[in-house]
Amino acid sequence: MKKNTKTLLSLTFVAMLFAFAATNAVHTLKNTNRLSTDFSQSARENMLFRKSADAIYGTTQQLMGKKGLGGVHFASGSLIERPSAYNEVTVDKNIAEVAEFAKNTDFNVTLAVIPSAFEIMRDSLPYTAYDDRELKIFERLHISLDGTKTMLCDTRSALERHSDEEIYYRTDSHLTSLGSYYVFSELGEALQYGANRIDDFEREVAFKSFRGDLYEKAPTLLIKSDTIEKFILPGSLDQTLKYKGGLRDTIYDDAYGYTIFPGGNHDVEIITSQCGSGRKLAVIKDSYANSIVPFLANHFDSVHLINLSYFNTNLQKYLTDNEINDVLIIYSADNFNTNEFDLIG
Amino acid sequence: MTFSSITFILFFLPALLLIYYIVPKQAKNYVLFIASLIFCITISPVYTLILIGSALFNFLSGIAIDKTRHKKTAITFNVLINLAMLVFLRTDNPISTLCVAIYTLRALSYTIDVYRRTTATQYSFISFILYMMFFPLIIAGPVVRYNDISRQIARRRSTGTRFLDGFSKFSAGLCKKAVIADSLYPLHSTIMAYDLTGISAAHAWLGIICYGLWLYFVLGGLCDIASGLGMMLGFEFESGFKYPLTARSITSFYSRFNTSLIRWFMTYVHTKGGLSLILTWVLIGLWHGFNGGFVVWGLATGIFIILERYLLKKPLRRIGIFANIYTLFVVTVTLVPFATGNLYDALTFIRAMFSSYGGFGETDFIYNLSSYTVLIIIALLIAMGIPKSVYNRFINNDAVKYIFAISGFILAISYI
Repeated sequence: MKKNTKTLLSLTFVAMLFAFAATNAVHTLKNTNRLSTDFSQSARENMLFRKSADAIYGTTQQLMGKKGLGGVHFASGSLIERPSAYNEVTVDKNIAEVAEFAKNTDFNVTLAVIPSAFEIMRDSLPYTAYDDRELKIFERLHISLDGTKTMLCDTRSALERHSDEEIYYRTDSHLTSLGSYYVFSELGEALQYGANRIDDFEREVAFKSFRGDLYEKAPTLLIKSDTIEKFILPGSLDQTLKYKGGLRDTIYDDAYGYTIFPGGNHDVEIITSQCGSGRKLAVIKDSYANSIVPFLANHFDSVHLINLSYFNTNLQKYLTDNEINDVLIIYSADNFNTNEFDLIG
Repeated sequence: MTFSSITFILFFLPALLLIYYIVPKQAKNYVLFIASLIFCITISPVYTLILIGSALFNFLSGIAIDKTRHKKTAITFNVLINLAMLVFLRTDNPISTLCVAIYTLRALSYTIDVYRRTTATQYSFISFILYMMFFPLIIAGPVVRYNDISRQIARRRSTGTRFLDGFSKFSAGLCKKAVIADSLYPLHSTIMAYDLTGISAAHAWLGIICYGLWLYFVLGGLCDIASGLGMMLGFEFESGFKYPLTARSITSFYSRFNTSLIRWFMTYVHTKGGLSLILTWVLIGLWHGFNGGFVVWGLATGIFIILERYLLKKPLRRIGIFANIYTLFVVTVTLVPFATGNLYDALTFIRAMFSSYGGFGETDFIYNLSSYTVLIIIALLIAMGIPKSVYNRFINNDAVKYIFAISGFILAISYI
């Protein structure tokens, strides 16, 4: 290369590097709370093109043969989180809590524990990655709850029958609307409704190119992004959703990604549908219930979504005061295995 | 602040380069000194004070050794004080400890050279303290000798080519450290965390090979970064890692692995004869840390080098590729005490490497191996210098080189 070209090249390059460094410095300093955070950490988090840098990191790690990142496996075609190790003490406490709650009430109590993709999609996990940590939770549930007043919904078998379909998101830990539909149909027996057939619904695309919570942990571009669908009944009912300080005339939020489903960060959300069933359902839940709720809302006059992490009043009293008929408890298996719930208070 | 941090790469370095190239020539060394001071303070303010104190002590020692008639007393006193620093200033912080260890070698290189009259006494404190505290060299070396640097502190020239080549070296070093070494590290630490009595031979070999590669890439990477930064500021010093995996004797291996450190010991510690050589190697081991593992590594390496000098020289030349296999085998096995730190673990580990227990079938082993195969192959190819020879032979084009450098830079930043 000629000397002049080289000088020009080096100057251009240096100018670009400086322009990037300067823009980045301004950007970082603007977004950094210098008093409360460690600067180097914050400079890293607030770097320009942070997301692209993460994607380069995750993608090259997968190309180099790593089996996962941040507790999330690179399975074939999807990301699958590794659940926490089986914790019998917590599982037993939670089962006892549910059984005790059901024993002392007149409501029908149904428990649905949602298995993770780690259990259902185990065939797509990397070689030797699978173990029966989550299967043990379901075995324990069946042993402990069979023959008690609590109805146990066999979500695991329902989802296993459809494990070749897209029942989990590829980049998010939750069930897709399709997966949620299968859980909803399985719940029909316990909650005594005739579930709609899958052909009854019109499937509307709410999001294309959605990348969810698993992508945040293992940002690889070698796994395709997801589509989020809404399953809508043609000519469906007027529905409203009420929460502390707000009311909207659709159950869906116009947020990003999985947060479009009802059941955000509120203690209680109440969905009212004029379906004429005369029944009221309370769902005690974590986020795994959110995509199931739209299906349930078609069968109950009102559905009360109760998030125990934010709920401060006496549950028993709340349910009685609101003339609830059925109580449905929905938790992810991982949540059921790691957090102790307080239903009785 | 470390070299592989966003703070250094996107804040400290651009600001320094901008100021460095704007200010007039006379001010450049002051800019570098202030930058080095800031860099040291971000590592540890207390250590910065100690380093300044030590620089002052060695600066005055240099003058004293030059002027006094009792040169021997003066140098002995200076060496003892420096060794005392090396021994007593070890902390739990590995970066500070490494800083002091390398710093001491740099100080001794100066005072011993003055004593041996192989260099002129430095009367400018700013030039001296810049030699002692120059930030690219402060963390992991290379251990430059005073003579190599003092001339460049007084006079140096920056050109566009040198700057770009420096940047290329810097980004190659960042990739070695942040992409390869940091990705290899989890495997080695996972294997070491197992119960060592229960691991299979295959697993033990995987662990120690991975450790060796990690060591090569972390030290080589940091030295490349230092050398690249130096070039960007108009300096020139070698990084000291030259593809040791193709070496055909232990002697040759360690003349290509951390060259600057070993050369320092050969210049200032080794005198003559086999015993002195073995002693020097034990001291090299001790320099890394005061525990049996390092000493045994140094001792074993020293013994093999002596064997090669007196017995194996000719046979090794005749067996070609087998000499290479012998070298890697011995280096890997002797690395075990270095890796485990304590002798008991080293013995257990070596026993596992040569036992038939467990075979190849452990599921953990297959999982670990398949997770790291590609990375280990890439690391081996780079450590053998194959990408470099392919480039030299078939491409050899500056534009391509700089495109690689920029891509490597972006890749490394993504890993930081």
